[in-house]
Amino acid sequence: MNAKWTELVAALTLAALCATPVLAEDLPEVRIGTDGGYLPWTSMTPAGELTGFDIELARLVCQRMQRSCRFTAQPWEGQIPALEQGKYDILVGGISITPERQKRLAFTQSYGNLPINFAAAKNSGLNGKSSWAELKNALVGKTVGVQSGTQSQKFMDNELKGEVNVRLYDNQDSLNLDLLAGRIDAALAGRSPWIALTGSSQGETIEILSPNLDFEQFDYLGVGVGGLMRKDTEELRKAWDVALCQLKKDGEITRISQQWFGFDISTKADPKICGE
Amino acid sequence: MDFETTLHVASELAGAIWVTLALAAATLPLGFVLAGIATWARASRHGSLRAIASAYVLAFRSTPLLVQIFVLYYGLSQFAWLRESPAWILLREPFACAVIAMSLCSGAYTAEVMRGGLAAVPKGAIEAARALGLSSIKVFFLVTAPIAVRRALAAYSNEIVVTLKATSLASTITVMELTGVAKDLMSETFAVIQVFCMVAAIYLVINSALILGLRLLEIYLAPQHERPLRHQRRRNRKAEVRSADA
Repeated sequence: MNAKWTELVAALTLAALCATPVLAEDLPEVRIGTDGGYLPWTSMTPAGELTGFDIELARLVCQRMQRSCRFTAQPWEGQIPALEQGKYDILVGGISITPERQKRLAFTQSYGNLPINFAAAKNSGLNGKSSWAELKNALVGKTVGVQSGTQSQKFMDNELKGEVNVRLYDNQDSLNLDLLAGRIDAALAGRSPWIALTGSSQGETIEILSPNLDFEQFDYLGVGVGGLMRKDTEELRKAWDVALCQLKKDGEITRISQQWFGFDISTKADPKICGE
Repeated sequence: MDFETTLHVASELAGAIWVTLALAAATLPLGFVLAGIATWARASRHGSLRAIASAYVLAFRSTPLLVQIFVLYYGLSQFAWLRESPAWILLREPFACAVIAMSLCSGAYTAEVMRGGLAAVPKGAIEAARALGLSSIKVFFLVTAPIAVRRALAAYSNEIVVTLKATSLASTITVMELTGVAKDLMSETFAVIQVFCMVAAIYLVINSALILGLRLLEIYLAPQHERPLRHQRRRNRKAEVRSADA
């Protein structure tokens, strides 16, 4: 019995020793976390496969970096803790670059930018406002839904605290359902999920409200979206940035942006990172 | 987490305790009434009533509460006719939906607790009471109910604690109770461990108080000879003192 164990251990040790050099050459797989419920950035097909602008972009980046990547879908609210615990190497899915997040975590360069918008039923009387001040007056006292942990929630805290009745949702899909059911008078989110909703058959009673709200007027809204990483994975971040530079130059980001958003959301290559 | 953040987190959580308690306080009596009706129906002479009550208990005990909440909140709101009916006044509100769903679920479990309590009443005691000529209402209130309540209280205290913890599911339909506020604070402060440990401590304190209170009630309701020894002795000692005084 004992001899058999010794043999087994010896065999396993030998196998491990032989295998090690091969493993050292291969970089470990990049673990990507994403929400899977935030169209068109990241979404799940009925078959359970991840798809969306960010998923496609991340696949292209992995191709350029020549590394294998594994995607995992997890609701947004738990993603940052999971990233910090090392369960993921990078998070993608319409994540806004903000100074607050940059304090603790690192971002790749920005690759896209979209404003946030309120949306409401077409007959809500909230539509057709020309400025934020006008829309704000119309919103006072209403019930407004927003996804928790997003830039939109931050906006609500900064601009409308105490003036509207805020409802917090775990994900965009639930927010859409309650907006459609009329439980909330209006909802605030990135422009992209509203485009997806108003373009669908159930969402035809919903309208995107003007004006667009973005960082030009509200600087805390950030300079766009990027991949969110820990600060201790500098090497991967640099590789990711280089791949993004190439994809921007080749017009690949513009191409998939047209496909998912219907227009170009890509931001210019950052000369500090990509060079001239 | 610095002092200022801790204070902010603590005050936000303190405000949310009331929502959690309100949810449990609204759910438990409603669940109790539902359970009473179900228990009565399950002992009914009419087969159809028994079947309906048994189906209710089976359905709500066999499906997750989260699913029940979602069906009630997101599911029913899909029907346009329901949104135009008067029921929408209630179903529109997340708090009311949470209370309705949790009451239905708690009612099903409590019905089982009641069934267990009633089954523990010795047949002989009821027969003896009947033989003494008591009416069936008197038999129920003087014999069946007191014995059943004592037998069922331990199991029901479990149901109370479970219901209080289940209120955390209301956060999934935008009711900002303890867990909902904690999730919000987590994304605001990133202090996951601190925030959720504080939340866990709050639940622990509330439930410990409930468990202790219910345990004391159980001892108070138990007949002398069934009390734990230390409580018996104390009582006896007091009784001795009292008799000595006299």
